[in-house]
Amino acid sequence: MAVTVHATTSLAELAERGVLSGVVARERTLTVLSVFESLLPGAALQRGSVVSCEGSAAATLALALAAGPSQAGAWVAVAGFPDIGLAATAELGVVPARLVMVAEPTDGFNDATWADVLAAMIDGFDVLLLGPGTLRVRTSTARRLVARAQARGAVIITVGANAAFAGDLRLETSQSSWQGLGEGCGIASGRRARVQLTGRRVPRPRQTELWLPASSGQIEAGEVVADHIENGYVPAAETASVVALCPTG
Amino acid sequence: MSDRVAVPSVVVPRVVVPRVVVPRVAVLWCPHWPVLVAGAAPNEPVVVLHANRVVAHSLAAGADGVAVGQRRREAQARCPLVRIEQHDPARDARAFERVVQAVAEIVPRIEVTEPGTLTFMARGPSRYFGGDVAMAETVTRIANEKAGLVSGGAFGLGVADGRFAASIAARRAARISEPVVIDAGQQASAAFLAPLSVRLLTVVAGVPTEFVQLLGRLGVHHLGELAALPLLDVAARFGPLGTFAHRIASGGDDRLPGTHDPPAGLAVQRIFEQPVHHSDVLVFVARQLAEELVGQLAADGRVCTRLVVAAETEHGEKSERVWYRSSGLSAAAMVERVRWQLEAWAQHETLTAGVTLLRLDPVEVRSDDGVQLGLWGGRTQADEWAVRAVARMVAVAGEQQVLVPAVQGGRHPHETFMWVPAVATDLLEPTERLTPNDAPWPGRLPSPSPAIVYASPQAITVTDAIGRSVRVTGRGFVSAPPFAVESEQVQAWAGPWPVEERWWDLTRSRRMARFQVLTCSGRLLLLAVERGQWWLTAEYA
Repeated sequence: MAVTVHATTSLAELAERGVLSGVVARERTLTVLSVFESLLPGAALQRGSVVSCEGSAAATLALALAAGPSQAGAWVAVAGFPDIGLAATAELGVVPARLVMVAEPTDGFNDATWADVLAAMIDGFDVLLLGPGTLRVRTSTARRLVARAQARGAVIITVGANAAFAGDLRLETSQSSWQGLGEGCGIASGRRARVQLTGRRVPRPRQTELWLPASSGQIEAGEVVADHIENGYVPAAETASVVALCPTG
Repeated sequence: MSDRVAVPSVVVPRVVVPRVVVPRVAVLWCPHWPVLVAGAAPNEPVVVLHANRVVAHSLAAGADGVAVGQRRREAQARCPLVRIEQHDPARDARAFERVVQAVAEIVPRIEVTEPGTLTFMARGPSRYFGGDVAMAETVTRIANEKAGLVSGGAFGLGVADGRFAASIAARRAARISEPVVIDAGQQASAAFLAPLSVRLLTVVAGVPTEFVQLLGRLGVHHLGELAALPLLDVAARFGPLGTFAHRIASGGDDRLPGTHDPPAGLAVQRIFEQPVHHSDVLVFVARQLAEELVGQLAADGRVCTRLVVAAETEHGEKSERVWYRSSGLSAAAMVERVRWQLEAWAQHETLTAGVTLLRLDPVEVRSDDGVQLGLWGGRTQADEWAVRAVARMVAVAGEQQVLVPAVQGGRHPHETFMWVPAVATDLLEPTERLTPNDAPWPGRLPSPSPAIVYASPQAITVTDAIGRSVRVTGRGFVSAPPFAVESEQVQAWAGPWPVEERWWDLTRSRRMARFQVLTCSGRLLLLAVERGQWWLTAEYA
C-alpha cells in the first residue's frame, strides 16, 4: 500500500515537472464543456495558458469556459469582477461550492496587493477569472504572474481584452443575436453568437456557432457552420429554427 | 478418602468490564437565546431567521404556532405581526458571555456548547451548595439575573447522569421555569428518558432525521423501547450510529467511545513579543494555530472535540473558555469560537493592555471517522490547496474582501445568491450555505440570467420617440414604447414586468417594473423603473 502511494506521488511530481509529457499530457490540461472540444486545440484548456474572452458575449463565454474544469473538481477564483452575475454563473455550470471571489475595497488595491492576491490565487486555484478590475495591474507585475501561472499550471481567463495579461488564446464573440424579444412582448430566450479562436499556436482561426446561452441558461452548440460562415450574418429568422444539438450539463 | 485435600483458597479475579463512568452533568439552556439578544419584549412575537428558516422564536410567536424549522412565509402566515430578525451567532455569543462569566464565578470548567447553552460537571458545585437542587436554583437565578430576565425567566437548568438526559432535563426545566434534577444513577436517567419520543435524538443529540424516521417505521417510538433492545442487535443492524443512539437512550453519556483525553503537549500557543491590540490579528494567528493543531491531530487520524481557548494580556488579564462540538472541531470552527470569545472578552471587560498569549489546547480528542482525501468525490488535493490559498488571500486582502457565494433567494438576479466572507464559512462544508431554499419566488425572471449584475445599479434615461422619459402607470401600462436608452436606439424590448415587494412593510416596500431592452448595438439590458427613475440593473453580456 505504502509503495503504491509512493509511486503515484512520484508520478504526480514528474507530471508537475512536465517530464512525462506524452503519457500524462492529460494531466497538463483541464477538461472543458463538450461544446468547446471542437474549438480548442487539444480539446481542452492547457494548464498554464492565458485565454482572453472578448466581444459582446465575453462574460458568458468566460463563465462557460470555467464551467468545465469547475464541474471536474477544479476551484475557480474571480478577481476584479464585482459585477459577476451569480445566477448566470450557476446556470452556466460553474459549481458555486468551488467559487471564491476577491472584491476590491472601495479605495481599491494597490499594485503590490494585487500581485500578492493573484499570486495566492495562482498557487491554490486551477482557474482564475480576471475581470476589468484587473486592468490596473501593471504589465511587469502581470508578466510575473503569468510566468507563475505557467509554473503552477493555473489557467487565467480574462473577461474582455486585457493587454497586461496577453493571451495565448483569444476567443472573440461576434454577430450575437438575441432571440425571443419583440416590440413590447416576449422575453429573451437565448443568444446565438459566433466564437472565433485565434492565438499564437493556432495557425488558422477556428470558428464555431454557439448558443451563449441557450434558453436553459446553459451553453449549447449551434449548427456547425465553420466553413461557410464567411457568407456573413445568419438572419434571426433562420437561426430561430435551429435546434440546439447537444445540450450539456 | 477420608483425608480431604485442603483446597487452597483461590482469589478469583473479578472480570473488569471497561465501563465509562457516566458523569453527573448540569446543562443550562435558554430555549430562545437569539430572540432575547434581539431585544424581544416579553409578549412580543419575534422570530430569528437563518437562510429563510426559523432558528428561534419568542414565546408569543410560539403560542401562535410558529416553530423552529419553518420557512419565513409559514411563520408570517401563522403570526402576521411577527418581527423578523436575522441570525447573528457572533452577537449571540457576545451577549452570552455575560452569563458565562457570572456562572463561571461559582462553577469551574464551563463548556459553552453554543450561545445559549452551557454545560458543566455538577458534582463539585452541588457538594459546595449542598445538593443538586440548591446548586441548580442558585445557578438559574444568577443566569436569569445576568440575562436581564424577570423572575421565572427563560433559563432552564437540568441535572442528570449523562449529557443527553441533562439536556432534556434542561429543556423541561425551561418549560416549567424551575430546575429539573434527575436522581443519581444511570437507571434513573434511563427511567426519565424511557417515555420520551425518539425524535429527541435528532433535536438534542443531532442524530440524523432519517435514522429516527426509520426507528419510527420499525415501531420504535420511545427512547425506552430503543434502550430495551439488545445492544448487539442494534449494533448489528445500525452500526456505530445505532450503538450511539442506544447508549444515550439508556442514560449513558454522549461522549463517544473512541474519545479520550489526549497526551499533554498537544497544545499550540503563540507568545507575542509586541502586545497585540487588534482582534483581527489575533484571529489570523488563531487560524494558523488551529490549522497547525488540526494538522497535528489529523496526522494521527484524530479530531478535537473539546478545546480550551486561552488568551492573556500583558497585565495578566485572562480569558479561558472550553468549547465543545461532538462532531469535532474543524480549523474554521475553532477560529470561529476564538473570534466569539475574543469579541465577548473585549466587550465585557475593559482590557488595559494588548494580548501577549494565545493558546489552543485540545482537552478531548477522538479518532476521526470522517473525511479523507478522496479519489472520487470527497475531499481532494485541489480542495486542500484552495483552502490554503484562501487563507493567504484573506491575510493579504482582508477578511471582508474574500467572498464565497451563499444561497439567498429572491426575484431579482442579484438576490438569488449573495456573497458572504469566506472566513465566516467552512469552505469544504458548503451544504449549509448552498442548500437551495425551495421558495417559488413568483415573478422571478426565467433563465437565462444576466451574466453581469451591477453591484450598484446605474441611473440612466429611457426616452420615447419624441424624447420624453418613458413612464409606467400604476396599472402597469407604458406611456410610450421605449425608443432610446441614453443615446442608444432600442431594437427590441419587452416588459413591463411589475413587482410589488414587501407592501406590508412601510420601510422596505418596493414597487418597480422591469424591462428587457435590446439596443441596436446588440447589448441586452435589464432595466428597472422605480418612482419614475430608470436604473440599469444588469446586462446579458
